Amino acid sequence: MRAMALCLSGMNTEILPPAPKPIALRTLLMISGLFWVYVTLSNVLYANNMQFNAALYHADLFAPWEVRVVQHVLLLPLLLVCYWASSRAGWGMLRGLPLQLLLAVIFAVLCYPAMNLAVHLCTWAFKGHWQDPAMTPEPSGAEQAYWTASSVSFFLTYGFGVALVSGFNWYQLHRDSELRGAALERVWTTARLSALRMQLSPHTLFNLLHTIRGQINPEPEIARSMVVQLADLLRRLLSAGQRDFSLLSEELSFARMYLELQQQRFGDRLTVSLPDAGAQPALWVPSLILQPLVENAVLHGLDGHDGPVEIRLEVSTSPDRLTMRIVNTTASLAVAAGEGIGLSNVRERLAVQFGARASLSAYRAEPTFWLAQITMPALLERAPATPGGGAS
Amino acid sequence: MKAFIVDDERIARRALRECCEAEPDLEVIGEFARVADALAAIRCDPPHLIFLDIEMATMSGMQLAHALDPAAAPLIVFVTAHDHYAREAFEVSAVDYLLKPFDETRFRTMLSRVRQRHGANTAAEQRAAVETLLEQLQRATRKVAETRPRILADAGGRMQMIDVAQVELLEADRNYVRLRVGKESFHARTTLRHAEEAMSSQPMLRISRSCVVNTNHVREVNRTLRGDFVLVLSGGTTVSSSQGYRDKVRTHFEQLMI
Repeated sequence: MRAMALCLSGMNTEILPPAPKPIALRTLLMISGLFWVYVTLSNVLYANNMQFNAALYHADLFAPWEVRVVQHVLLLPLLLVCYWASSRAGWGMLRGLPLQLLLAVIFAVLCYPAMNLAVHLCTWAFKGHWQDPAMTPEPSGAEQAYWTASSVSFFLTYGFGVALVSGFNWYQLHRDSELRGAALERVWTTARLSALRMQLSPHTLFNLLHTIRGQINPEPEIARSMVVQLADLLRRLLSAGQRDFSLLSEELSFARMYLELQQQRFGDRLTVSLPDAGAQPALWVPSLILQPLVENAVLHGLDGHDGPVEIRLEVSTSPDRLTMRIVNTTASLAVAAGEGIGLSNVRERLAVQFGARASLSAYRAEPTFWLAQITMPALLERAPATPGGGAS
Repeated sequence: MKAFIVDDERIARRALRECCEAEPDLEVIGEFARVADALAAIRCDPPHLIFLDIEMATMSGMQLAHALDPAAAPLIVFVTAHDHYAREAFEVSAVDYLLKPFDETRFRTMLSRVRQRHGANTAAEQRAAVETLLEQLQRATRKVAETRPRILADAGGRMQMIDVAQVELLEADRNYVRLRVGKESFHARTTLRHAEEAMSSQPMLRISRSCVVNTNHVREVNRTLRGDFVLVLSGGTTVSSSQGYRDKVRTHFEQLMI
């Protein structure tokens, strides 16, 4: 948990989707605009249809379509303001909900006055050849009845719109939070990978320095060349640590450098055999993936006895698989301890990069032999584009 | 051969002098801690060979090498702790370079190349010396290419390594980063930031929140009426800058035009 927190504090926030925020004004305008066009059409068509029926009885019950269109146009700005306020008000029990209700009521109640205003506007605009069809005097109380009916009907319409807008808003928030989660996971994976890359254990380094110190007086020449070898090793370690992948040949020559230095420390006890780095195919492997295994082989090979130790590194390839094997002799009595940090690092790196396509197995192959084996996809470099090829 | 040693560190000069003293045909006739002093001495009485440290406090060894007349310059061996100077060293016609720390074996290997060059009197000998130099330069160049990061990417279930120099475009695509290489497109299981880091040897330019372009591969730059940039990449892909990054893109291309 703490490691997670540490890695999160240092990460670049730019790659993460922004924190949840209310729906963008543009999206809001677009959704409510479209919704309102639909409502206008539906109301006008419905009224026209009903008016045809009413016309059979020579009654003018429904306002003509021009009036309805003008009414809806007049209502649009009000609707937009209400929806904007609604999207910002939230749905809290104490403040949000009453506010939403208030907005809905205000809108619904203003719909009938808007109709009246539309009638007046139309009368004024089409003075000569247009006549308010509702000329006949209305019975008393009709006005209130119309108002109530219109309010109730538009309250429902308004509600549909709110559902549409907030539904879209919620969908967006949900999608953003999903993206956020995925981004966090990737940042976490990356941080873990770079931590796993530093593979040379500090105590190996200090042991080597101590060996060199011991050589300075009796054999200054050897001490000098060991310093140079160690410098080469560190130089490679640093440059490989900055890259996720290295060439197999580089990896093998790094292992050779390391083993040769260790041979200086342990003299005749250690025999190593490695494939020729120069003769390897141009395959790529995760940088320093062999290092923990080689280090383990030296450590466990020498442990628990004072006889000779043999370490053998083998590489075999098939068209699409690469197998790297490290075999070391062990004291037959040595008890295999639980998997060390080195092995689990290798396992984890392989899993992160290749999933199920790579594996590490480490076991006692024979009473006196320990075997560690990495199997992974054979990674070739993408061939430079050939003319005519490369269509995907 | 008469040699100068130029290094601002006393102990480093002593180590070199010790190595030189073991060679019968090599004579150190001057040691300098400052580049200016060395330059004056070289102009006054040029030696055959200079051991030149690259990173010094006041003036770099590379600057000294540039200040010398190429026609009459002594042979130069750069002594440096960084291996990334190798190619640059050969570009200022150095004979060789020595990585710090070095031991007697490496010193002698270097010296044999210097001797080859120094004693090259006949045409055949000179050709051999130039060939050695060329081979060294090729090795240094190859090393730069080999140590350039690669990105593991997937196309149709097949994993491949992609040289960052070939990548034209990085795009964040949900849990992946999409790489554009020519007409092909690959998916890498990484983050845009991590991929950008791997691409740091390339001149990358972010043109929107989810899109980074390798400007080495920009073939054409157009602008829309609204002022957004539309870039055509060498593989034919067209990408456009987002409003938020428009100014950054403009500054970038304006700098290129100056």
